[in-house]
Amino acid sequence: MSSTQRRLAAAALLLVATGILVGFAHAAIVRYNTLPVLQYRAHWTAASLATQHGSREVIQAAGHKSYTYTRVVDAHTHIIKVATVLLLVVLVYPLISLPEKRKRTLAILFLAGNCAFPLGVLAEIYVRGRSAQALAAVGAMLIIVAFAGMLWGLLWGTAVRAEPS
Amino acid sequence: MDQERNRQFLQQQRTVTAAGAAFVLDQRSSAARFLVFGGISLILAGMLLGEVFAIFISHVASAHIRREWVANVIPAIEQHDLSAISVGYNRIEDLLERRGRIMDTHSHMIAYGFVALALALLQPMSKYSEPIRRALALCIVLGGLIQSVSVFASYWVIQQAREWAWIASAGGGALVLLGVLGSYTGLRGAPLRSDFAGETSRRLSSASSRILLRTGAFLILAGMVFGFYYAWVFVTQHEPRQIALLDDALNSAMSRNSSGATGSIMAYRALQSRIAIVTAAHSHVIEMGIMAMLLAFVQDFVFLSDRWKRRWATLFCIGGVVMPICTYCASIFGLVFAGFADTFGIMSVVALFAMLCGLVRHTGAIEARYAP
Repeated sequence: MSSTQRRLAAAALLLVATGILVGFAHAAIVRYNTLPVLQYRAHWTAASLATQHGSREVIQAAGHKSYTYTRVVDAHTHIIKVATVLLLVVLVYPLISLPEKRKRTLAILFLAGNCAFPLGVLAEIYVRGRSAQALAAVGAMLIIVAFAGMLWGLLWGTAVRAEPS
Repeated sequence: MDQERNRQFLQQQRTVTAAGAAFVLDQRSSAARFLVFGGISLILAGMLLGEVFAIFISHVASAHIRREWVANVIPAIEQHDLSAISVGYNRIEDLLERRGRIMDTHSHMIAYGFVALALALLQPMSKYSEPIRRALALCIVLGGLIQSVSVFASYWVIQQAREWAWIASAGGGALVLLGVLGSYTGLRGAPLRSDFAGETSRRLSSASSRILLRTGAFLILAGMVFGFYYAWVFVTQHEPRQIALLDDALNSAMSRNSSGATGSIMAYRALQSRIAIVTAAHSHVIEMGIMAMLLAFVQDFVFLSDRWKRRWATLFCIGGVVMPICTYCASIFGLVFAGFADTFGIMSVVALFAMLCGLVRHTGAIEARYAP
């Protein structure tokens, strides 16, 4: 195992731990209620207030609750799942037939994407406008491009290795 | 003939061990074995729960919620009957609560299974002694099981016991966190191994491993690209429409426009089902991909003939590819495709179970051979 692999594995495990902690915090804040129930309550409140001609700010605040729950749960699940994919990348790293420098660059891009994507998703709760969405989109795109590059190297590598047999 | 094949297999395993290179899944490491069995068992249990939910509960509950809205809540709003509104509201919340608990259990079990399986493959890189690694493995598998089971049970237990179920759930999560952080510290400062590349290459050289590895990697990429596309659709179209539709329904009901209220509430429910199904398709593609890639690494330890290993790997991959496609089609074409998705999901479960049986056979064979 190279030092790059070891660092990536450590980073992936830290991300898994972060994802678990986000889940912990969310579960404690919402008193262990599930996402469908939280969304239903928020939708009902927002729609009821609108029907009763409540103030615009109050209706928006109720609607924003559903928006917030979705973002937090998305961040929680995506951090852990992408970190699991990063662990897989660590395991297949030696089989990726690309120059070491390019492999390392792709792995760093993947890791950067896995940090930027959930941060962007969480930032959408607090930052109005497109900047937080752009951060999440850039993070997701980094993950996709880096994984596609590594997949290319992996397929090339396994094809070359399979040839002699 | 079978005996001869078994003998050759054991000979091959012994040669690998003697060379000191069997580190991707060291058969003498009980921590790695525990993580592999625990991981696959958690994944299998999670998949089975998902299948049971999809086949027997999900469609029935969705129809029940629709009926509750149309037959009880909308008429109650029209008549300004607050107690009837409250009863209907609570019934719908209860159905959603059950759905949420089952889905949470399903997704957490599978996620913990993935972490356990991935950590099993990283065990030989840990600097810790076998007893510490075993304790950390126990934390992850047991913690995952406690957390998932208590989340599941929290719906069915009485109110007083629900608090305890949540405490148990938090305790299980804390155990998993401890196991993950322990594994992280175990990696830090561990000696580098120069034989990793060759050994990984050998582990993934079988036909079944190659099938699983390639299909898995493609599935993950496809799932990521699809998720990127759907995130845009969700943020720009689906998410803002939900509250607007519910608002329309309540407004129509208040003005005693039954058909308008029913139409809006049906559209609201249809949109929610579509969001749930498309999101499930996105996550299932990636999960099947992760699972296929992880299973590629343990094929060497599935004690079945190469032909059967190839068959189970192919069956798993067919199920893994077609199930999410049918799940997505179900959001457009309806229940027939949901049935196909369930069928192909079962195919993957059967293949996974067959691989687990092969792993058990391998353990038995190795223990019989190495027993004093």
